[in-house]
Amino acid sequence: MPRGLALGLSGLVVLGLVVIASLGLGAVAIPGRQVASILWSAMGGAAGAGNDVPSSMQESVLLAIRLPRVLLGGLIGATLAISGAAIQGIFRNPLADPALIGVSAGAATATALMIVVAPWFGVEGVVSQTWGLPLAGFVGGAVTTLVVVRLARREGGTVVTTMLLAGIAINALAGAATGFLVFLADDAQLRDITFWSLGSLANTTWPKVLAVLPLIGLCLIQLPRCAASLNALLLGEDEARLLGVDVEKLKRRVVLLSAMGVGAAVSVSGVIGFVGLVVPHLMRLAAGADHRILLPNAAIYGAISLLVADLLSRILAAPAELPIGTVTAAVGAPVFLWMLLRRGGGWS
Amino acid sequence: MLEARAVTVNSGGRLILDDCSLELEAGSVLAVLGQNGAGKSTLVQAVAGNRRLARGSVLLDGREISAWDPIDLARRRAALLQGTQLRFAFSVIEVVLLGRLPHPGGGRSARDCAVAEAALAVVDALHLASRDINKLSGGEQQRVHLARSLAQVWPDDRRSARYLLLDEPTAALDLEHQHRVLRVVRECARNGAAVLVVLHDLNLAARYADRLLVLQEGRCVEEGRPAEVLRPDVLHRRFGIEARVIENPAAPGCPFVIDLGTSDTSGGQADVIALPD
Repeated sequence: MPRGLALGLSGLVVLGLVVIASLGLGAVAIPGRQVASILWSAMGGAAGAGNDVPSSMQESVLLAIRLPRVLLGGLIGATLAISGAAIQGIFRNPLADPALIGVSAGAATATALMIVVAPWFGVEGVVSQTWGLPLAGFVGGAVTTLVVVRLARREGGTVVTTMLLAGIAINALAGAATGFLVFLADDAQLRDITFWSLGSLANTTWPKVLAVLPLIGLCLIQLPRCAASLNALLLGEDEARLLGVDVEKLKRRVVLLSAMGVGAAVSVSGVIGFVGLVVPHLMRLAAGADHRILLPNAAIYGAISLLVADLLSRILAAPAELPIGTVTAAVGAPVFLWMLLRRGGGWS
Repeated sequence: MLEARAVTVNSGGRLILDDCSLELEAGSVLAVLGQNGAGKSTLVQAVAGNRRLARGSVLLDGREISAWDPIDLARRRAALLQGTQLRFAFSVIEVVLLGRLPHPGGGRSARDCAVAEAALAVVDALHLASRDINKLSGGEQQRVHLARSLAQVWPDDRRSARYLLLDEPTAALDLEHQHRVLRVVRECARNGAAVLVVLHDLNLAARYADRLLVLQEGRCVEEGRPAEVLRPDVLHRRFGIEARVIENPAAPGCPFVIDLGTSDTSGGQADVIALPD
């Protein structure tokens, strides 16, 4: 069996186990058999009998809290990792990351704007929390990205170095704007923004999942279709053109799809770092740089990583929860350093 | 036929190519010569359809090259550019398979694999197939990229015209592989491809090309058969060297240039070029 396929299949098995563990573990323990029974009856199956029948407490915890949370966590992890891998391909730089070209910072500013400014216009509560934040995150991420892409455009082509440097400048600007909003915020808003900037999957509800599903879904389905062209692009833009790839269209597509997925993800979960950087690296080490193998595997293992991180964030300080962004950074940063040292002297 | 008509290319306000014309015919090899910065690489890019022309046109089989469907074009025309570098760990065979991307198999079919292996064998690099390309020497990498270009326009059953544009394919190669690569180039032409190859070595050009084209400051200044172009007065004017031209002992009828150095050294003792401390 090819290495990539083996990696993918074992990933799916692990993902299944992690999902079961994530559904079962927490303040209210729900054993695997009862998880299955609740899901079965929720899908319209006949309820089981005997003393294995789950309590209504278990049922509501599973269906209303854990299931949407696990689903969202998996989707977000997959999106962050697949976008990271694709953006690294576009920039032909293994250190690139959606955060680098301004997606995360733009989404962060727009979300802070929504938290602080929306109440002035009487937009509050469910509307703003559920639909407003994802939308703001997506728009913020997309607008920032487009500005960066626009700045980097020269004579019909996009200059990657300029794009990276413009990304750094835009990141700083967005950071300043977010800082200003923090200055304006009241105590409750401040807490929201802080919490959000550390990342969390707590308070995931079904409407939130549904709000981001179209954006994330499109990103997850469309990005793998760019894989072969991304491979050609690794040779260079001129070489890719010679192989029949429409380079400008490819760059636009990948940047927009990533902005869409990551912007939406960031808007519901906050800024979760290192998944987009570290997971694609590990996948390249395990199965090579071919995007046709890399992208699907990054999605699978991104989902696994984020679900495990979420599990840790729930268990380590139970009954309180750690922000998930601190967990991914605490695990991701050392792994990243290890990879750097392993290469023995940097990326050339 | 691949035809460049009065091609002019500007970049950053500078004239890189000025009114260049050339014709590439099936079965023949055209060698492009010229000093550094003469516009050779830009000519390759322009003829490949990769550069916006300020004036002039490039026609492939009678049709404007920009009007071709990019995939159709990629199946007929391959170009080896200078300084191609992968930042990611691809194996050698994966790199060569990238050349099959425009083909129906997309680089994954059995036919694609067979072609990739054959192309690697031709450039004497099949033994490197599973190695990481970034761990190879410069010359080995260059041969792998040449194999990729060959694989891209490998002869198939459709027998359509094929064009191979090679920018300094011998630059980093040892002497033996320089000859080997140019024999491959010759063989491609014999199989019906039209080949343009940028070279610096005048004797290799004389030996393996049917026609020579000399670029100077973006203009096509000399064109003709090797014996017509490689004359002492032309070499002095276009390359700034004093030279004697004899017949190549290994290839009768083929000129052989003996480089006597630049005009300030050919008198015997070389002038000392003062280097700063």
